[in-house]
Amino acid sequence: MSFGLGSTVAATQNKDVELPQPPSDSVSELSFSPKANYIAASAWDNQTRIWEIGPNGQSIPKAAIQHEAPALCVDWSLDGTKVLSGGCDKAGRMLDVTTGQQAQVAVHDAPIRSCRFVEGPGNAQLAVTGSWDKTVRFWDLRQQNPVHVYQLGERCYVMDSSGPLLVIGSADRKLHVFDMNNPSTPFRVIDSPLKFQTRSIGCFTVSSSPGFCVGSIEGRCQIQYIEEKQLSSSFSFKCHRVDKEVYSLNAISFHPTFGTFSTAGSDGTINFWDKESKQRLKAFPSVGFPITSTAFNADGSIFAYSIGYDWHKGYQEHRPGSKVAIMLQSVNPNDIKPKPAGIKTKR
Amino acid sequence: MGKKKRKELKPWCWYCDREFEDEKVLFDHQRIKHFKCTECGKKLNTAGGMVVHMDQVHKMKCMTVSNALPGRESTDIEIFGMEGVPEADLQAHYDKVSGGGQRNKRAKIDVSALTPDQIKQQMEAFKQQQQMAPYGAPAPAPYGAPPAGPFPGPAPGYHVQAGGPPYGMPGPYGMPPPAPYMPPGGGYPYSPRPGMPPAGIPQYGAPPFGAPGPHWGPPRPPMPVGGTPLPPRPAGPTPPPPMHPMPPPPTQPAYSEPPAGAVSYSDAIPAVPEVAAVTGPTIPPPVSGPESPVTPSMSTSKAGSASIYMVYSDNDVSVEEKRALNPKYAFSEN
Repeated sequence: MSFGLGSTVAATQNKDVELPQPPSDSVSELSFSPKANYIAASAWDNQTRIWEIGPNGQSIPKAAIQHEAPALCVDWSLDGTKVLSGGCDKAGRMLDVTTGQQAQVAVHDAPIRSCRFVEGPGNAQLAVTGSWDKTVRFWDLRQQNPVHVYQLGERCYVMDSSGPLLVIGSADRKLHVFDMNNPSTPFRVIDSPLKFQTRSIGCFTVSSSPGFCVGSIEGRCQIQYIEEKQLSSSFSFKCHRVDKEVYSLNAISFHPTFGTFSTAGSDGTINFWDKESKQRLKAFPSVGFPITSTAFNADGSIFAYSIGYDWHKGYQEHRPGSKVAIMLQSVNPNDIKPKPAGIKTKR
Repeated sequence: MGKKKRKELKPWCWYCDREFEDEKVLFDHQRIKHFKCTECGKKLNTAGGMVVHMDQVHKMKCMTVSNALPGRESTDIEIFGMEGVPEADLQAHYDKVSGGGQRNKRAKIDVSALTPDQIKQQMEAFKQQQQMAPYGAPAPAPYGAPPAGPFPGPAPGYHVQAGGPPYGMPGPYGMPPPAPYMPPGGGYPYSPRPGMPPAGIPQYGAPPFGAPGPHWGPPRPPMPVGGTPLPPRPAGPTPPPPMHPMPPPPTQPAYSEPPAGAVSYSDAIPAVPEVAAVTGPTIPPPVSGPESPVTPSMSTSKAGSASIYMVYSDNDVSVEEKRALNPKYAFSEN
């Protein structure tokens, strides 16, 4: 491993495998196919790339979507056949991985910050794109115009979905919760329980009590339940703080089966958490560079994370050519399995 | 009573006789191993806390501390980390660890009548001494200097040398170590050293029972300085604070304080806060960062929050928006 930070990365994460031919600039988002071990990564070098991960961890680059500006988001369709990526060129571009066909399926008036495939009413597959033009647009992928435009009132910063749940975070710290059985109006719009800019969202619907997890730039994470009777169970906790420094919580990924989740921050650390027992399951040492995005694969056996500068110290700390990598970790079930409630550790 | 002056003594769990590298680890160990509710697994900070929890939440009487050595299952002794460990056991453990009966008594006493000048003088010497041996000499005498009258020892400034061994603790300790300077009839086992400055000054004296873990130095309870707040310890079977038997007659009103309120820093001794900083390694250094905006939510967080700051603090604009403005990433419409 001969990279700028190779020694650090190798020393602390030596068991993790690095994807070959990584992007030349920071990864903005990682997404695993829900059907197979394909991973897509959108990056600031204007490309969204797709790799196939073999059974032994060796990976092969398969395809790429070319943007005319940095790609900011990527998501796989629910059937695992399509990849949608949005970027600063204000375009949502979709690649059909079965046919190799590429097309622009979404357009905004400003960069597309976040995108998700969701299942709308009648099992119709919808693409949702959120943009800094303060709108969220729903596309059925057949028409040129969106089937629905939702006015966020502020710039879209982050979005995540799971099952019928879609949660959008906007620049005014509002959280727009959608039930995709009724995409035309939000189920609920709430102020973020966190006092600072919403940075990451992870939805969970696997457990009996659906909800979502919000991370802010102030190293804090909120578990927010949705159902009325669960609302009071919501709670927040601090994370990704090193001594006196408080880092952004850049990414939240839920494990597909256990319902536990990961957080990753600008501090370069990843933690696994169990929200039921309110316990940290695993803390990984810092990789020495910000983690920009994370993802679990469909069966939760692989955890992917991207290392790269996330601009949290602005341009002056930007080192062109510095480390960019996508790492794959074979998930040790003992690290991510929920632990029995009640043995909470002191944090 | 937990005396924190033995720097060479590793944090050690009284319940199971195990040593730890770090006091934090010890705290966690005790929470997990000994203070965990057997019903719901909730971890408490102390045995007393566990008893109250079991009683109030589960309506059960908790009589024993789990995973404890035989004879140490009592929930009556309030132990938190090394705080509250019976002195005899602590000493026994210490002897065992240090491989012999070497008593490493530190200077703890200065029960002489001093004038402010003397005190200042001694402060200087004390500071020098501190610098030479940072852990050398904490735990000065408590409270206002009593008159030399009741004490048979040489009046001004008898004390024990910092780091010096020289006095044998009498027998098993029914009383905590300061006991020897209780006004006795008998001679003091330690020898006065008139030439030596006392190892401390009365006013900020940490009564040996008060100092928690690493916070020896300034007295704990009323001090708002950083560090992990310890749970209050109800008076258990632990011996009463040793200073109560002290004859309180103050010859120097300015420097004598009633025992309970004895923690005030006397304005007359400006050097005290400095020394506090020297002797209290856990006191957070002064807040440095001018770039440290204290955020509202942080002000509600726990100790030491005053100087934490967000690495990225622009609440209104995301990093991606800023990054996208960079010419390198610019998008031309054509």
